[in-house]
Amino acid sequence: MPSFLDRERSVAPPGYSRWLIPPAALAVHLSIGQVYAFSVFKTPLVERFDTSLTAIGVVFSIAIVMLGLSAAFGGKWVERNGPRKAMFVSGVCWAGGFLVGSLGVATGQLWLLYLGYGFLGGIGLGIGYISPVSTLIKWFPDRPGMATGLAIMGFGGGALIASPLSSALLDRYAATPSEAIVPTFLTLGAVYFTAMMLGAATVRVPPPGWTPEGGAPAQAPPEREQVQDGLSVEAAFRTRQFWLLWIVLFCNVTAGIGILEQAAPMVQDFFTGVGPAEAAGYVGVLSLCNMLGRFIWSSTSDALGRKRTYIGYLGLGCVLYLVIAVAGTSSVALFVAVTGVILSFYGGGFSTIPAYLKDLFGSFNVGAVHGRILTAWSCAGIAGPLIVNVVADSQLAAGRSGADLYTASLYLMVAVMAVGFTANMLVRPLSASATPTTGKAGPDRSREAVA
Amino acid sequence: MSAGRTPGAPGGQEELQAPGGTGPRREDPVDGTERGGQTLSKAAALFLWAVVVVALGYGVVRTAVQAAALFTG
Repeated sequence: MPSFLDRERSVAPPGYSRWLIPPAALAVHLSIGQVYAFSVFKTPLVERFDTSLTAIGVVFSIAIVMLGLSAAFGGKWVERNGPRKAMFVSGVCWAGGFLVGSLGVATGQLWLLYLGYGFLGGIGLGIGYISPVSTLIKWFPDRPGMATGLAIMGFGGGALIASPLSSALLDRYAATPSEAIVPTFLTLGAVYFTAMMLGAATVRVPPPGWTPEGGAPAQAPPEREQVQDGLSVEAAFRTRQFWLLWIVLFCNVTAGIGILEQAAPMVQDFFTGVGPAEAAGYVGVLSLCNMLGRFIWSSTSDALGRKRTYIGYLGLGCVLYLVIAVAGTSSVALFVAVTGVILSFYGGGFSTIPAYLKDLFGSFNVGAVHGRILTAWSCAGIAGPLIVNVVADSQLAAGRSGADLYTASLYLMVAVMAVGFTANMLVRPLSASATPTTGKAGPDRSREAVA
Repeated sequence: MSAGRTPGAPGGQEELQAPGGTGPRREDPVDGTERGGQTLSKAAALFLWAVVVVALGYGVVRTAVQAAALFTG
């Protein structure tokens, strides 16, 4: 790979503004966030391959599984090689996924679509998701929540851009959407490749010892980083705190994704006057809340503290799920407002977790630790929809209909949130004996940050 | 915009030194190229800011218009 991509070549010169870093992170996250808009292609792909929705749904599932696996196992590689190389690899994989996928569509080979968009694209998703996190935390040690919120907001916002853009391209390129998939995939691949390469070219790591104006404690020089600035990923993985946070993230995501996945049919079951067009609008509102929550709540956590912020996500979340279960059918406005806040907490949970990890384990290996904890997302992606769908099916079999299909699963979600709330309450700063490789990220500093 | 500080660089700017650190460096083609590269990098980052803001604005407006159907439909 060209040496231009090396970490050493991406060190910012003195005086470089840290506010020039977030757009690089956003360019990557807005690009890979397209995966949330994959449903736009579902019906055209079913027609093109003359297959079932399930067979096409496998493409998305492979991509999400690969996201979790590559984030979990690629984290250390990303930390070692720096954000520029990671963003480059992510861009090549993500755009390559569209290219191979379009070849599969053109030749009628579904396995090539699995291999391209699913496998290769999924690797791009995982590497791209974690690539800017530790860099942003190092540039914004005084506001890590805001910094990671800004980047991870892009992942939520990616679907807002990709959904209308893909629909417009499918309409423009051919008479029927199924004939327009190949040029649409190629166009999206080219657009995302360009955006991600621009991000890779402009991203910079702070020089050793850099601190913000008026700012936070100094970062350790690289050679001393391992013993001065936090735990290694292996050491963090062995702590109780890591697994408590894993449970916190799992519970928060399980509850949110359960609603997100069923949003369109759910609002139509709750209100008989709501049709498919209005339901699509409702899904849009939820996506917007998901995106805004990632920035707003994560930024708020810088002032409020990470633990208190998660008390809000999970504690208030419990109450809001109860409100839907008890009074959800009373008005559309109330239903939309309450589920919107829940989805903002869902998004906030994603973007606040890197800062929580940084508070507990230091910034040394935070990208790799973040990658490992994202396995909670993969598991929740299976558990959340499963709970809602299985309960709804059993209620349907019992002769119930409308909002009654969801009442039991909403109460179950209250219980899931309560488990997450308890896990969060059990999170304590690392004890001195549990921080063999730390200096500054030891008990005193983390006690202050976690409060 | 906060530029931050680097050790040995008061005020966030490091004085340019000749190779070996014996005194202020004179303008030379290499130095000029470095500065040109930095300016280009900053310009690209600012351009990227504009791109992501416009892209996000497009997505938010399109979604808001679609969502309006929920209350007006």
